[in-house]
Amino acid sequence: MDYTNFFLMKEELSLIGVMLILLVYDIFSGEKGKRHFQTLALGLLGLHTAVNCLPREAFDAFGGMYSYKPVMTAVKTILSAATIIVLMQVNNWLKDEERRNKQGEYIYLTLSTLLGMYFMISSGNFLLFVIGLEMASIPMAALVAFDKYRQTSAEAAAKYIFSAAFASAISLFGISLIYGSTGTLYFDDLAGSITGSPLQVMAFVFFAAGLFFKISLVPFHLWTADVYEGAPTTVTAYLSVVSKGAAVFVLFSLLTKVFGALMEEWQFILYALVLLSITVGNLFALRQKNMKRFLAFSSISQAGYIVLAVLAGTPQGLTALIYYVLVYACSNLAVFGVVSIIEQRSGKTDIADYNGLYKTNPRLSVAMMLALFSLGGIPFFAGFFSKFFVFMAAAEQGFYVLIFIALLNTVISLYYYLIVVKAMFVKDNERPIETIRSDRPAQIALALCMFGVLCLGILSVVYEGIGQLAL
Amino acid sequence: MQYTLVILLLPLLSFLLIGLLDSKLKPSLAGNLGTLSLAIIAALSYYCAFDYFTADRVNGVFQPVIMQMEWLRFSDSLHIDLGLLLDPISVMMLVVITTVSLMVHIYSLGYMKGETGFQRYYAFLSLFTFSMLGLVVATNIFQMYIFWELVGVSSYLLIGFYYTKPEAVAASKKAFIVTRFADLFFLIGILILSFYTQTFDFATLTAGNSNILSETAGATFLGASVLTWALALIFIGGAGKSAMFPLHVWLPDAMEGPTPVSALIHAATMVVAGVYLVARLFPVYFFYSPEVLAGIAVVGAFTSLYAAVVACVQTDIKRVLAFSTISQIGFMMVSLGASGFEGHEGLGYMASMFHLFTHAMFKALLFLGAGAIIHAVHSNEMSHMGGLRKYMPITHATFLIACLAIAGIFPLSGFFSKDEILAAVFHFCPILGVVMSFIAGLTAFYMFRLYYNIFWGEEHKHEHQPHEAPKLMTFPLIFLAAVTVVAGFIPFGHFVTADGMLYDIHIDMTVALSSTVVALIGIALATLMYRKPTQIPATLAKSSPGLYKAAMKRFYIDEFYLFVTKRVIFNCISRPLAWFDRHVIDATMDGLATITQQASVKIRGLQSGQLQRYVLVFLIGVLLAAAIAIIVYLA
Amino acid sequence: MYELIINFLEGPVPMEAYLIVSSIMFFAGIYGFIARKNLMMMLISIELMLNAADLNFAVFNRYLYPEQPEGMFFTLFGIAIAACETAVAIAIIINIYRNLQDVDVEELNQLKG
Repeated sequence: MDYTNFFLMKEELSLIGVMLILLVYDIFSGEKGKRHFQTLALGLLGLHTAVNCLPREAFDAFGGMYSYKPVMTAVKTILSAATIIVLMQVNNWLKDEERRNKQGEYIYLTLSTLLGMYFMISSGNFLLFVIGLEMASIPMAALVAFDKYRQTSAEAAAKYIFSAAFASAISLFGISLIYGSTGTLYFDDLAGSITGSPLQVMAFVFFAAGLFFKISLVPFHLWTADVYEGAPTTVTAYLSVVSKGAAVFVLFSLLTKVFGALMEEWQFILYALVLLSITVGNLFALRQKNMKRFLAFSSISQAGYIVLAVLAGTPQGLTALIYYVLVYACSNLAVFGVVSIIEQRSGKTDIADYNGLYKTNPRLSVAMMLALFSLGGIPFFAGFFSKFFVFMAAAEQGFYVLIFIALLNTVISLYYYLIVVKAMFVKDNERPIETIRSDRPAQIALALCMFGVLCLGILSVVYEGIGQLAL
Repeated sequence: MQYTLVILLLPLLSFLLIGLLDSKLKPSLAGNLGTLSLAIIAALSYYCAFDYFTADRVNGVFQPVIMQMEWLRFSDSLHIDLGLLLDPISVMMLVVITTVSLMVHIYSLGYMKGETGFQRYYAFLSLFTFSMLGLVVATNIFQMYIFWELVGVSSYLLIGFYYTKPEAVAASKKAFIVTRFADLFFLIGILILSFYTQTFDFATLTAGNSNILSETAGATFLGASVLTWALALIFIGGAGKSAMFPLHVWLPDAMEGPTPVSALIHAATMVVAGVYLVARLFPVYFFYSPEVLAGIAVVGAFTSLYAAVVACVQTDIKRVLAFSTISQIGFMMVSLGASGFEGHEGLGYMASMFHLFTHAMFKALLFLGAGAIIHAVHSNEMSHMGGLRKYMPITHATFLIACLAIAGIFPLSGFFSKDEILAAVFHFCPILGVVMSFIAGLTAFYMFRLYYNIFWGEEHKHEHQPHEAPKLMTFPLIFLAAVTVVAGFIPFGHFVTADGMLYDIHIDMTVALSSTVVALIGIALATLMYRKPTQIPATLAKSSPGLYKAAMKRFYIDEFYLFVTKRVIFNCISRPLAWFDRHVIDATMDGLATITQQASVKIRGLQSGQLQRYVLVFLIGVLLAAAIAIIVYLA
Repeated sequence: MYELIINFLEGPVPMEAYLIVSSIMFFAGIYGFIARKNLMMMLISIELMLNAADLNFAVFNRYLYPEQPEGMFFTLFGIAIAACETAVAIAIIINIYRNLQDVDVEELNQLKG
């Protein structure tokens, strides 16, 4: 056994290092030291991201159990940057009276889900993949239940953990059947052994359902809205961006690498799922009254667009996918940033509460508006370019009908995003949300997201850089 | 020549700075900031011109400087770049734009003083300058299109600056819609061109006899080559911005904007974008579709004549100037259309660019002068003026210089450029030459009609004594007048020619003499009729009331458009459509909405909040998907 | 007939028998999860499903691919993961009980629509 293999897992090791330092600090620092805990966490995580942001040569470690490709650096960097933004937004909320002593827990739990996603992304074997997947979802349930005296938080957590356990049981059963029919769990060997038989097809669907659940594609999405609504807002933001982004990337690499032989089948299934997700997500989003539920359904329909890139299955599709995740992270985190600031200061989460927000909080409203425009794909915001590239990738594979339907759906989605914009700018409110002074980290997070929303599309370097890695 | 990037970025920066801070900035600070940044880039442009034109020629041609980066990539050969292209015409345009813009910035410090939204005004001016500069240095036609639209937007913002005034709002809308309409053709043209040639680059497109183009010239559509269609469509885009007949209707109305804006955008810079576009693609036009070029000449000549006639009877001084601008742009277009490519044949191209340059200066001068006058008497109407020469000596002197220049009197700049144009047109087609000479005479006539009506004639009773404009406003007038006086002596053929080779301007004595005589006749007529109040104009108007009224109403073009849009489109197309919409589409939509609502009530059951139902749906989903996948596998 | 049964009982257990058991466990788990109203019972059902998968791994490894203990390892990790899941799930169930004084899944109906 060559122990130097461990040092090849640089990203994971440095993240574990960050977690250990934080753990030790949390235990031994006094009441005073606790005040700087979050600053330390953000600094370390920033350092971790910066150190690991340069891609390396592709390699396999531990006999193929762990496998690295340059493009994974892009994904991991995006995920950890998004985590940093989430942690910045959470800053003020964690300093509350009732949560001050639980800052550490929140941050380790978040980081351990991130670590799980790292393993999931770099896995070269189903064992490591499953461990990563569970590591990403079990602490998440604890995070969802973080407000433990709030009934909805507990309910959301129960729904999450039970659905997740059910999905992972089905997924595991699928993997066991795959193992039974091929005799290996290594992705590289599987690629050759999966040749197609009804058993393998069924096993594949069982397995993939676990990922569909994480990405929350219709009809595996039913948990999404309830959990998003009940969970603390920052956890929702994390769940909708980071967790989803990692799962989509893994779905892409598994489908193209391991299940390439079943391409016809999975394309058919994904076709249906994309269609359902975009449409059903939109239909439900139209009739939501609660902001967080609304965003849950919007994220379901966004997931449909991302999976459109998976459907393309080409390097161009992969580029479009990662780019979409990046842009989606910026836009969605900006929206959630505003929602969580408002929720923390006023406790309001209904769309109707946002009426007349512009009069009292012009800056938050404008930030929200820009982010929603980007989500809706209005030209020259980043969201327009990300949708454009996804459609281009899908068009190259000839999915014209699906693209057409997706385009129709963007119009619907524009409509409901504009409802929120209209509420903020046009509608009057007798008791509008009072003027809010948000804390500095949340402001910086919002500014970063705004930068992404406005500039990512225009700076084509980003897209091309990802394209270089994805080849 | 990396510093040229600064020329482009500085106005953008000042736009962002002033625009974002807006009312937090003190008005004077915003104005000074904008003016300072413009002064810097003007200085840089002059230096750049000096640098560029003193560099060595290679094979007798100034080498273009291209700096660019790839922006959007469609395929290996087709990608959109962003960059800077410096060649003789773009450098010349840099000088023109920055000069006029700088003058307008300085002038506006006085003219716009105390207006609400002063900061906004300067932000928009910077935005406009940025987009116009981006347009002229574009390395490829797509970048040009982007800035083309930006120019349109900033022009829209500036025309509608007084957004509380309904006329201004209507005018800005009109300008935007008409030019957008033309831009649609432009875009289609670009798409056709790039589809067939697989490139957006100007350098590739205009590189002499490139293979791509000759291959493309083979493809035909409806009897003309595809290239001809593309070029014609692109010209329509240019015609929209440059207010060529019949797309000129927006320009006179655009005069609702602040006067310095009219000077900058609607006299000197934006409206010549169409001319610039044709000049930019001139080799393509010349070698691959001379028929389009001939068409451009005809359109230019007709527009020029039409606008000159209309200008003779307008009473709003800014509108007279607007029509005069249309007419002068017509001159430039004719000259381009009449031009050949090499040596003496390329005279028209050179003349057109020369006229663009001189016209920008004296027309900006005229507009700024008009601004000073309007500032003094608080009216645009000629009848409210008269006898102002005593009160406003500087404005009077500079305005006179500009009038003489546009009339084409030696030794002012207009004489030289117009003379070259006439020479080129006579060479191309003598009949057209005669027509253009006649228009030159008309120009002299209506300009002096304007001049006499403002500065001479009967003095109008003013509520306040009119007074000379403040120094901030007279300085640009004097500066531009000085340029107008000396610009004619610039050996323009040494810098800008169609084929890039050095060309010495010879003054064609017959043309020069005849055009001077025609101009003098025009001036004499105007003097006779308008210097002192006489009955001649009224008698003339009465003797041919039809023509007079028609010209007064701008030959009913606006009414025609209204008729087309209101009567024809609304009644014959929209009404039936509306009926169809209400009774067929709406009914269907209502039905659909009902179905959607019912569906959403039905599927609400899905989201029941019951965990076990969720899991059941999940399970059914998995099993269905597995069944479908197996069926697909077996099929 | 009698001999067949004796042979079956005396001979080695065939793989199919294990697979039948694991399938029954799996679907029993699914049924339990959907039919039971008590959260603890649902949790036990999940355990059944997970154990079915683990059993599959062990059996496939033992009967089909005995050269490498990959399946066995997977089983071990699977058990560990199931334990983690159970731990967190029980914590959440306790939390629910504190809030609602009940562990009936149908009481979890605040979030819907």
